[in-house]
Amino acid sequence: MIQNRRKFLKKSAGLIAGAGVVSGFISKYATGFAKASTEKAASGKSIRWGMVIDMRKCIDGCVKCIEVCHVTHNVPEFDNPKDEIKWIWKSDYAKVFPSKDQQFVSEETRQKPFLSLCNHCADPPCVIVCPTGATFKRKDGIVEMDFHRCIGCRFCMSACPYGSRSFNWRDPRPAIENITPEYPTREKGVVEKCNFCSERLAKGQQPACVEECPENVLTFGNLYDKNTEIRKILKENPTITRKPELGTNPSVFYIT
Amino acid sequence: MIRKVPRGSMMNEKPLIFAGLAVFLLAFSYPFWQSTEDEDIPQIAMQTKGEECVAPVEYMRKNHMKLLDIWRDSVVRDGDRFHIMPDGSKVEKSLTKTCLDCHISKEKFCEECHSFASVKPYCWECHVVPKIGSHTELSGIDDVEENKQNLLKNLLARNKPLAESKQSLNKGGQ
Ligand code: SF4
Ligand code: SF4
Repeated sequence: MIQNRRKFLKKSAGLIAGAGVVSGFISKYATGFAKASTEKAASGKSIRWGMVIDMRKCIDGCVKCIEVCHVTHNVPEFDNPKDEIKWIWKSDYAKVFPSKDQQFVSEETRQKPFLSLCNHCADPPCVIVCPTGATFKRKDGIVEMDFHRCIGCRFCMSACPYGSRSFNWRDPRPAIENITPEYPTREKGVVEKCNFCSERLAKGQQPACVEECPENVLTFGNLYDKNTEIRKILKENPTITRKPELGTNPSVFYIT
Repeated sequence: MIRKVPRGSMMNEKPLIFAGLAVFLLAFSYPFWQSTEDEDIPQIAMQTKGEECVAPVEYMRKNHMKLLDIWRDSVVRDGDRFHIMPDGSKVEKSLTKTCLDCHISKEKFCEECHSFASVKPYCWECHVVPKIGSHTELSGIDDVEENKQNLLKNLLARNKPLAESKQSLNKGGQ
């Protein structure tokens, strides 16, 4: 009996050790893989769209980027704040950057309303949870929504750590003042968010907000191309991303 | 104990049973064999612009919904937005920008058939019906209203069977 137990313990110890080694390999492989997926820059072949927001230039009270985005994409405006739909909006610094590493930030920065929009994360949690594939990551890094497939389960809304997504609690059509016919509206029961103007990119245009901003606050470009304006800005300025500790790898960078 | 059914009575009921069965089958299959008269089928509003449809007309009659599905997936999922026409030119894979650019009236082109066939696609819950005046042929032309009438006239000339139903529409416009 004792013999047996000793044997059993020995065997299980061996087994556990073996499993440990194997899992070590697996996690090493997995992190290596994750790294490769976000650092494809070296190859210089593919595209990953990104944006830099230079908050030093952003004017307090200006909402031109928000207006043009919401008109372009038929974003409804509901009276009740609970129904609010937003693709790009201004929010308190403390809400945009709640991470503990931002200490002793200047009063000026803290008072500024910060622009927020979908970060088009390189490792987007919203894509992982979506049960229908309605939210998916395109080859060029854009986290896109296929409204046709959205069943309104709102898993993505709880997965997104940035509140980038809004849900149509009500029929949005009556809440759109002037419908822009080039872009569809949404239906009740569908989630929506910023799409980095993928429909404009297809025509070789910049995102609407980037084009509209009178102060050049927003710079848009391919993060995988070393010669782009956006990479130049990223090289020359210290930038921060939202909640970096979560490992979502945002494609939207801030200069504060 | 087994009871024997007298043979004679069964024989007598046979014609009745078969007659009943025939009536039932006829009634049951009525929707299948009762063919709709050709005149009842709405004629599809012909194109008012361009020579050719994005695919052969016969294919489009039967499979336009499949083509739209394929277009939708390729635009939204793969970002592939252009359809190559037989002559090599490009058009956008778009119901609103391409289909309804030629077949200018959604009421005539989509709805007549759909209500006849009793199908209710939900494209228009989200997609925005283009205004007839926004037709690309009209851009840069001052009198949108006049051109709208011209286009409708065109449509009438090419599409005789629709002429009657169109007349009321025309009258309304004048
Ligand atoms: S709400 Fe729509 S997009 Fe979000 S997870 Fe559910 S199906 Fe996907
Ligand atoms: S910001 Fe939110 S919605 Fe956008 S990709 Fe990241 S997780 Fe998804």
